[in-house]
Amino acid sequence: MKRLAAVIIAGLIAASGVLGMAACSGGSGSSDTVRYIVYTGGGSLDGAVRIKNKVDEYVYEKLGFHVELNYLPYTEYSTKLGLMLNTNEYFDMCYIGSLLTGNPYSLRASEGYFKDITDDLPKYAPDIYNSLSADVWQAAKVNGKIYGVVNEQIFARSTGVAIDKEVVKALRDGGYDLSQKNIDENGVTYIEVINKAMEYIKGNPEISPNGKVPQSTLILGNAYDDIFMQNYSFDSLGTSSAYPGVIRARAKENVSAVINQYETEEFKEFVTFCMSMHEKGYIPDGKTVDITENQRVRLTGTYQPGCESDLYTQVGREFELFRFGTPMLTTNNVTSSVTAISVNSKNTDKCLKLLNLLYTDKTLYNLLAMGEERAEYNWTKGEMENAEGVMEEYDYIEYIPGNGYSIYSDWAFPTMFNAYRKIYQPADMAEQIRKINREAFVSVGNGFAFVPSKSVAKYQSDCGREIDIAIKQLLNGTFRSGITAEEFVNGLNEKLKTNGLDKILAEKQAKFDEFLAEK
Amino acid sequence: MKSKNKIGASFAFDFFNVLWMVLFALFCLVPLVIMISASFSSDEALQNYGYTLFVKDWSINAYKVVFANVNPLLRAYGVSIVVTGGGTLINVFLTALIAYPLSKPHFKFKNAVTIMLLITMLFSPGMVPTYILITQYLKWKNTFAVMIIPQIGMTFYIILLRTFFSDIPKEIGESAKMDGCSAFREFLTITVPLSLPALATCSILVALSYWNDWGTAYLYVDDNRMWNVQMLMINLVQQAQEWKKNLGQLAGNQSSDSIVMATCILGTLPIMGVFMALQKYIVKGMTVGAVKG
Repeated sequence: MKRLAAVIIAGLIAASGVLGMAACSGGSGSSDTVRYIVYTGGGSLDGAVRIKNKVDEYVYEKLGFHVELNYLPYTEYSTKLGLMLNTNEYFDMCYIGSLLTGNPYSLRASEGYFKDITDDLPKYAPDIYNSLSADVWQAAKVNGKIYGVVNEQIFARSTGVAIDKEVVKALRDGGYDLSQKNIDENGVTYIEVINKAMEYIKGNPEISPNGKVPQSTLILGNAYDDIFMQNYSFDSLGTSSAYPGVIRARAKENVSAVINQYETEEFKEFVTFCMSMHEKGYIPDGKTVDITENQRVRLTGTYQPGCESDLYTQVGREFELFRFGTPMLTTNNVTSSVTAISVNSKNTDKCLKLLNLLYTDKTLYNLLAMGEERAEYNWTKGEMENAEGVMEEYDYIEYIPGNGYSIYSDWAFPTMFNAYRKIYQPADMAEQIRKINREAFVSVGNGFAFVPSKSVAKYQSDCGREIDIAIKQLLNGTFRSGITAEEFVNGLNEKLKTNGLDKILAEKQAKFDEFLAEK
Repeated sequence: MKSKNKIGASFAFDFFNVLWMVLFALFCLVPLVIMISASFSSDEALQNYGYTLFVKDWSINAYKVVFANVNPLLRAYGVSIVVTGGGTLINVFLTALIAYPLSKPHFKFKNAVTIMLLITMLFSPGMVPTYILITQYLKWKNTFAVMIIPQIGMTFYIILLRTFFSDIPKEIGESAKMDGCSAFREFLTITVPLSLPALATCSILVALSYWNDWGTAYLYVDDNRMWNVQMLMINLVQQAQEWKKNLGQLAGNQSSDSIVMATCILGTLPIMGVFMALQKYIVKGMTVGAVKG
């Protein structure tokens, strides 16, 4: 019996040993390994170990130190990063952005979680530092210091609406002048263009049998940011755009006045537009299923040359892109994708060298962002119109379906312009976007990020909750039947007033005035 | 008159009792039926009718898509089976070892240990301290240890087993002792065989808890090769569009919703089977010690 007891106890000790040994895989800070928290936008990570090893080998060969990639999917990124920061867990650098719920860059930097790299940045990452404009670095400053390396992408945002090329052709054939030139010169609004396109779609029996527009033909999902904030040029001063308190960045007078965006005529116009899309049956009610393939009118987040390529991959049809309003640089727009170095990191120089290498080395960037040739993608040949309207042959990469590494976050690395060309992307896409960034209108609030006091943060969060409910009702079409836009807007504003709206506006204004005085 | 009233009251009680239970059963069953229906619905049916209780247009395309990219699911099954199987064995054995001395009236520190155990039931250490302990001191991130060990020695199961062990006539143990039996041998050869219904109940509840545990994997497992079935499903539900994009033509026009539902069905089936086969033990074990004979 004693033998049996010994066997059982030995078995348990062995099991604990195995579990304990497995536990040894975690690691703390090491001076020759950079631990990099990588944001992934979904997709497959089956081949992540292979890519991790290849990236490590490549970096070791070029820079002489190791890199350990730690992938976190976007669905859990903010929660896990928040825990890692709050518990002082060791890592060297991570992706962070102004719109990352719960962990916005400016707030976390002001709380001291990231290293001040103002002096080290030009020394160890000179290519990045010299390539981006002073306005961009100004946006990344918190209390006058730089705490993150801005990832280069489209910074200057304006409303982008993509429409199925077949619909565009039909509208043009019907005599409607749907062109960027007409939009720019005659002030054609997004309301008119989307209405025209949807009117045609609803009336076309091949697309909409019996006049019923198919599910997902038009999705308003993120219209609050994509249309309202960008088209009307509001700057939310470094906080979530949904919180009350913005400036009219292009106003000719009183540009520094912090106002409640939900009390403006522009918001009323936006609400009327959204309601009309549901009331006209352009967005069918009651179905919960999202069918990407049905999309024909799409808000693109921002006007970005080349985004037709992603749309083609996702939806399976060609789109033409139109811009409304003119591009604008704000703190939020620039810092929407930043790589920051943890205050605990022992490897500031190595982190910056690695980011600089990712900025300058196409091979490394594409290995990390896209995976490997013949495993994740193949090079193929296609034909498309060039800037002069002449058809020409070009090489592009085509993803292999079911591949093992697709992280959909090429914008979360130092520059997305290193990415290999994809289908229907113009040859000069990077140049076009860099030009937009360079020539953009710079908001007077660029470089300011409002960090509220504790009491105002509570009011802000209470108001944010009411706004979230109202905007969801508006975009999903679940607002009370028969309610007018005016009633909807008034109802929301009454709730905001009882939740401390005035206190938020007053503190935001006071801090913004201080920022302007020091500028 | 009185007895007529009594019969009426009893009928009303039974009627509302049954009605309430039927409603509650429907409340639990309807989402499951909708899930099954959506997983077998064609893309067109989902577009035209949304989620329905009965399938309007049958299709097994969603399952074809899932099986075309079955590796993540198989790997997650593997992790869940190792954690559930291994965890349940270790957990129930150690729980029984804690419960055994507590069932003995002569154990000196019985009350003190019981109070200590009850305190853990009432107060939780909180998420941040637990996270620091697990990630920075124990270094259990991305390991099987974190998925198994923190759940060992749950007070509820200790009390359940202690109560059952206490009901075993002490004379059996005493006579064994007189024949020279050690305490450990008494535990293994007398207490354990006589307590099989209670151990089975604990095992099923512990196994269910391991299988359904996504919170631990969510917080402490970053490596997708270590995801269990629940974690995989959460990711699938949240990233259905991206997942479908990665499958490209394999997914064809199949709605991502039906693909997600098919995966959820495949993830739920094994533990549903185990639960249905062994659920009689749960009722039996839950009533352990309820009536003293």
